[in-house]
Amino acid sequence: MDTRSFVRLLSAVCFVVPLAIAAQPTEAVACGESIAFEVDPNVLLLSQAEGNLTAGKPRAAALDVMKVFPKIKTAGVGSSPLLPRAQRILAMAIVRTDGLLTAGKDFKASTADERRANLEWAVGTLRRLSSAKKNNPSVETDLGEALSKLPETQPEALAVLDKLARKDLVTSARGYRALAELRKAAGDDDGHVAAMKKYEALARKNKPANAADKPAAKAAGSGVIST
Amino acid sequence: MAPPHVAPSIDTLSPKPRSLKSLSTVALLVAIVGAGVGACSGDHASSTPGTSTTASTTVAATASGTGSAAPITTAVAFDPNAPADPKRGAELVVKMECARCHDGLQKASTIPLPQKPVEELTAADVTAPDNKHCYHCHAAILDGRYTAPKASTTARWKKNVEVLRDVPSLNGAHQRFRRGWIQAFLLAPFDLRPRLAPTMPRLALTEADARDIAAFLVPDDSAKAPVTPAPEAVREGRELFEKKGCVQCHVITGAAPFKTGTPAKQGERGITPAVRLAPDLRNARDRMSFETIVKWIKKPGSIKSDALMPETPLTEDEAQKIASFVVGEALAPAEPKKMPARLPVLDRKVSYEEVKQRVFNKICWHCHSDADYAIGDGGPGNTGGFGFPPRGLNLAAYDGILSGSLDDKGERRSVFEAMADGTPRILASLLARRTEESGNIDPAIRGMPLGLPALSPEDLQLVESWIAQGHLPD
Repeated sequence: MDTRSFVRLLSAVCFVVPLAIAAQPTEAVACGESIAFEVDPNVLLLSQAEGNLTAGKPRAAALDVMKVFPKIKTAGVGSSPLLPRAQRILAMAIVRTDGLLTAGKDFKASTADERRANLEWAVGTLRRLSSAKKNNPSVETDLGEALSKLPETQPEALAVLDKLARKDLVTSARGYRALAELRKAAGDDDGHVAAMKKYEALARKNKPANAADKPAAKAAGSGVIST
Repeated sequence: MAPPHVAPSIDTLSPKPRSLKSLSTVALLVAIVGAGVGACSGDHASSTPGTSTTASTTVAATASGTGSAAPITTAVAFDPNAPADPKRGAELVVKMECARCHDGLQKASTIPLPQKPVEELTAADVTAPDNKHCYHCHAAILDGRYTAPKASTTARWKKNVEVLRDVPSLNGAHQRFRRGWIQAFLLAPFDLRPRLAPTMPRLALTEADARDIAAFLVPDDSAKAPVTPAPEAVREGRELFEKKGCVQCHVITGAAPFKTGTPAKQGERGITPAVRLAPDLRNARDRMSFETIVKWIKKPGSIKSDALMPETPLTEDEAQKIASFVVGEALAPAEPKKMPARLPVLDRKVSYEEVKQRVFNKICWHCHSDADYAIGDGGPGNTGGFGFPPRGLNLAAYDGILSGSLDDKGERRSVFEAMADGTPRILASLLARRTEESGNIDPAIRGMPLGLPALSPEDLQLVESWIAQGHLPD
């Protein structure tokens, strides 16, 4: 190879390689039916939101959701196949901050009434999702956890979670935690201990940093996320 | 030219002495699979409606005249005179979603498939879109038509699906097969193609269902007579079989070894689709009539327009002799496929992530996922498909696994629930697949993964260890 050719080759390599590196997309999540995982950034964002929720970062999760659905509170049912998933994440983010989460214009948390309104939205949303996905322990566990946050729905929460637990179908550590607290409040000490054992086993890795474990920031604005 | 020493015509399912003699060594009998059996849940089969018990002829061997891969536990009494309803069979073909795997259904039979909408039909039909067609999707990955953003991802997928892209086309089935063979094979599928990784899945079919589907695929089963070829023709046919290169693709389990050819290995890599799909000719005498075999050997495309088997220059006499060998070669009894030994539960910590990467999200979730997440239908093992009722089982996420599955009554139950022998349900399904592969079908539980090879002992060990350690999320 003469010098001229070498220089040309070197120039080409210097030009093409950085371009190729820059053009590398992110690693696909999986194969099979998850085509959308690779091509739809919204799916990736929701996936990230779920990761944040699981990791005890409900506010970060909510932020991700609001990027995808800024008007999620008024979004029509069926308007997007991703909507139920997004609603579930936001609802659980609200539940895990005890309603102390401000998101966009629709979710305020300055007053107790606003926080309660947030929780009521979360419960209503999870009820609808549970109704749409009948007999789904994962959704029912979420609903049970949400119901446990409102005094008037705690008996229902206990019934929902108790029924699941009897069949070993509570699907989250937080679900067991809520059940443990509900049982304790109902005077069921043995049940409390049993649920706590399950909670501790499931929460071993990602011990929740939610409101139940660690009181949410006291300042009303601490949960604010901007979209 | 007449075939050498054609024996009197008999129906495949008739109790002729010759057939029974050859069939007596058959390992494959027919298992009843109750209509309500769950896809993967180990549900107990209900009694099979329509099962013939009167004036029936127990024929053990429509699957293989001289023995299939293994003994089967459950025999079914076939009634050769039982009326079949090919039109219902056509509807079942759509309902069972045969088009999720098989191509060529539009030309499989002389009976037209039902046009949509048909009330009973579900999910994929004969024009199954590629996102519901297992093997079209795999082929797209292998052919580079699948949009994956990163080359390394595609390379990884290609490695996974290389052995999972080929499924026999049903094109021209009505010109090829014996009806009784199809009926038996549907009820108790086994490893017919030794180099192919997937096998026909055990669907939730009653005997009547299988009979009707077989009648749809083979509306006219009248002119398919077995023959007893002359020993000389068999011997010469054997020589021709090897000389003409048939052994490069085909094996005949139980036949005396050939000088050339290589042993078949399930899931073999680096081979062409034609080689991969080449059936074990041990079963050919039951699958096809002598005349059909001759015709097939001479010109496969005349029977099946998309046949992969090459056309080999042969005289009529040569084709007759090779066919004589195929149907007349003495075959040793088949030996059951040996199950590899199970490995002990691991002492080391097994994480969910490890099991997820190796098993759940590599294999299971293709059929058991969540529609909201995959933007699909959740797969046949969740929302229903392959004729199975929805089981609501999502193995693509930890909370989905903890959510369990639906039983026949629509009640939720944990996948970790102990079976009668104490084995967790999900593990029992995985173990059942091993048992099925060894030829023993348990009607009470369906082996998983459906229609795919059983998990390796190492992967089973991983799942079992994770469950034994409390099936925790970390």
